[in-house]
Amino acid sequence: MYQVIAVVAALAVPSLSAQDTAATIKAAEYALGMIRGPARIDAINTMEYWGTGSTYAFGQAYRPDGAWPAFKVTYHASLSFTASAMRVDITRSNPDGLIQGGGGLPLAAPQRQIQVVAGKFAWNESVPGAGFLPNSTATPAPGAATDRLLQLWSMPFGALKMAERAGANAKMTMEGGVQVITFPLPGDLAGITAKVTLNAKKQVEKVETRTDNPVLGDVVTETTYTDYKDLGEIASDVQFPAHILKKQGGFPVLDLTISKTDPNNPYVVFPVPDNVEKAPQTPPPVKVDTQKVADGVWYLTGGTHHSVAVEFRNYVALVECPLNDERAVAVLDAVKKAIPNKPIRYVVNSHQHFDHLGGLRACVAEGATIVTQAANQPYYEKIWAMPHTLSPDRLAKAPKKPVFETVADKKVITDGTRTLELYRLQGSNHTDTMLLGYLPKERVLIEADVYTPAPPNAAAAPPAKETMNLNDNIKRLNLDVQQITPLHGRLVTIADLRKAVGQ
Amino acid sequence: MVRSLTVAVRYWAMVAALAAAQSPAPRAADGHADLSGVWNGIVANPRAPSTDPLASNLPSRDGSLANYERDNTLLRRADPNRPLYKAQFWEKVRELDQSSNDADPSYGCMPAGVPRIGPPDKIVQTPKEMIFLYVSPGARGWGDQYRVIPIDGRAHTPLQELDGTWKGESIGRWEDDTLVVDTIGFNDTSWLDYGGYFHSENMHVIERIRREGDRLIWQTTVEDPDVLMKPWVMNPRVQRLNPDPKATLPETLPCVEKDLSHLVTKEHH
Repeated sequence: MYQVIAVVAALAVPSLSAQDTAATIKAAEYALGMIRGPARIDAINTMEYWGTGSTYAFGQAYRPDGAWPAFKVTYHASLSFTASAMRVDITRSNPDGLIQGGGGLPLAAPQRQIQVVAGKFAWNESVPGAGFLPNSTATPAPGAATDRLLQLWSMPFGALKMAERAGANAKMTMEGGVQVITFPLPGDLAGITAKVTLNAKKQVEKVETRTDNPVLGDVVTETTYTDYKDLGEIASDVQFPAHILKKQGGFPVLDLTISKTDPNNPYVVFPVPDNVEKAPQTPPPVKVDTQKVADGVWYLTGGTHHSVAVEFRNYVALVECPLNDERAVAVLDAVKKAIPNKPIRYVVNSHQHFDHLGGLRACVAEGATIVTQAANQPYYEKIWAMPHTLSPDRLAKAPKKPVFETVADKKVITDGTRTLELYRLQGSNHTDTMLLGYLPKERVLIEADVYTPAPPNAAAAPPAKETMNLNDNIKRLNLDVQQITPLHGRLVTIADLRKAVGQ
Repeated sequence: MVRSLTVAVRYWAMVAALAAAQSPAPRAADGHADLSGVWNGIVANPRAPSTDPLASNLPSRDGSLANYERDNTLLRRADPNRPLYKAQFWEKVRELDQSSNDADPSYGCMPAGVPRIGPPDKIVQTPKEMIFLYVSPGARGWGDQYRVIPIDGRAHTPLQELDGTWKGESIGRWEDDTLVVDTIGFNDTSWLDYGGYFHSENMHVIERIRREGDRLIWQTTVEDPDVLMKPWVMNPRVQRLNPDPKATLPETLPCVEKDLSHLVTKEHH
C-alpha cells in the first residue's frame, strides 16, 4: 500500500530538479525582458535587429586548419517565433587587406543576400517580399531550412522558448559554477539537442548545438551572446546581446555588433511564394553524366561539382570525390560502370575546401589511396578521426585507416601506358594547397575553382585574378593544354581560357 | 470537507456561468435575435491580475503601474494576428508603426472609423434599422460616435457616388440570428488598429454580430484588395451586457491634442 502511495506521489509531484529547471527558465526569460503583464506571460513573438560585422565562409579556409575567410557585412534579421520564420538580409563586401580563401572571395561588387525560412519552407529573395512583387525572384532553397530554423531557435529568446516547450525533457546542471539547460528540439529540428548556458544575471550566454557535417562529422555550433542592452529605438526593457559570436568547427562563422533592435515589430511577415510552396522539398536524386573526353579519360558531371576518371592498365585514378557520401558513391558507381573490372586505386583531391573533400571519406572506405597536397594530410587525419555518430557515413560504419600519398610541388602517376601529372598551383589566393591535374599525352588539364567557364554566349566578364594566375601557371609549367575539364562548369578548350583572360 | 464544498460551489458556479453564456438570445418583436442593450459591462477590478480573457492587462510584470505602458505596448504588439499587406507596403506599415505617436490618427483626436471603433457600447434595435452608439476614448478614436444602419433590404449606393468617410456606408441584414453589417465608402485616413495598419478607400468591412446570453460577439473581416494580399479576419471581441436597467453611456471628454509636441522619444503610449 505504502509503495502504491509512493509511486502515485512520485508521479503526481514534479521532481525538485524539474521545478528548478522550469523556474530557472522563467528567471532567464524575465532577465531578458520577455515576461510581461500581470499574468507574467512571454510577450516576445517577433524580433528585428540590425548590425554590422563579419560572416565567414565555413570550410573555405586558405590553409588547412586555418580560420574561415571573412566577408564584411551589414546585417538585418527579422524573426517570428510564432510563425517559426526568419528573414536575414545581408550585404556582403570584401574584407580589408589581403583577401585569401574560397566561398566566393573576392567579390566583384557588394552582394546582397536575403535568406528566408518559414516552417519547412526555405527560399532566397532578390528583394524582401520577392515572389509577390513584379520583377522579383524567390528561389526555393529546401536544403537550407534546417540550418535556418536552427539559427532562429538558437537566438536567446528562441532557445528559452524551446527550453520551456521541452518541459520535463529540459534538464538543468551546473557546469563550472554556471547553470546549463539541455533539451531536445522538436518538430523539424527533432534529433538535435540544444545546450544553453546562462550567465550570472541569468541571461543566455551561449547556445550550443551539434549537427552532422560530411567533413567534420558531429560538428558543434556555438553561439555566444554578450553585452546585453535595451537596443530598441522605442524603449521596451527587452535585453538584447550587443555582440553575437557564432563558431562552427572551432572558428567564427558570424561576428556581429548589434546597433538596433525592434522587439515585436508588428510587421514581420513571411508569406510563402507559390513557387516555393510547390517546389520539391527533397533534393533531386544524385545524377552523374559520363562523357569520354579522350582515350581513357572520362568527365563525370551532372551536378555542381565534377570529377575526372583516368584509366590506367590495371587501375583507375579518380580526380575529385566531392560534396558528401551520396555524391561520392554515385561517382564511384559511375566510374565502375565506365571502366569495369579495375579498382579505383587513387583518388586525387584538388584542395581542402569542404565542398571538394566532402566525399573523400567514402573513397577511403572504398580502399583508395588519397592523393593530396602534403599540407592537407595532418589536417585530414585529424578531422577524419572526429566522431560521426549523428549520421554515420560509409567510413564511420566500416572504419578504415586512410592511406595517403602526398604532393609537395609535383607528383606523377604513371604505368607506362598513361601519365597523370599533378602540380601544386603557385600564387593562388583561393587556397594554398591547390593541385592541377595534367594528362600530357591527351593534353587535358583538370582544375578546380580557379577557372569556372561561363555558359556559352554569356556576356564577357572582366578577367578574374585566379584565372589569370592559372594561365600564368600553365605557361610556367610549359603544359601543352588542348582541353580543360573544370571541376565546375563545362568542358572547354585552352582557347576559351585565353579568351577569358583577355589574350 | 469545507474545501470540497468550496470546490463544488465554484464548479457549479462555473457551469451556471457557461450555461448563461451559451443560452439562446432573447427575441425581438419581429422574431429576430434581440441585440438591444448597453454592452459595456466590465469586470469588477481591472487592475487585478486575472486569468479572465475579458480582463484588462493592467498593471505590469512587477505588480506596479510604473511599467504599465511599456508592458502593455509589448503585449499589444505581440498579437500574431496581423493583416497581410502586399509586399510593396511592408516598409510603409513598419514606418507608420515606428512613427505611431505622430502618424496614428487616434492620437490626433480623430475618430477611429470602422472597423477600429470595434463593437458598439449600446444597440437600439428596430425592425428597419439598427442604431449603434459608441463611447470612444483613446485608441477607438475620440468623441461619442453613432451609426445608423438600415436593415430594410436596400442596396449600397454605388461606391463612386459615395464621399469617403470614417464610418462609410453601412447596410445590415440578418443571417439567421447573426446581424451582418456590410460597409463600404471609406476615406483612407483611419487605421484598422495600432501597428500602422492603414487601408485604402476601397476597403470593404463585414461585421458579424451575434448574441449568446449576456455576451455580444463581434467578428469582423476586412477586405482591401488594393493593399492587402488577402482578407483580414480580426480577433473576435466580446462585450458583456450591462445588467443595470438604469445603465447609461458616460460622456466622452473633449480631446484637445497638446501632448505630441512634448514627446521626445518614439515610445508608444
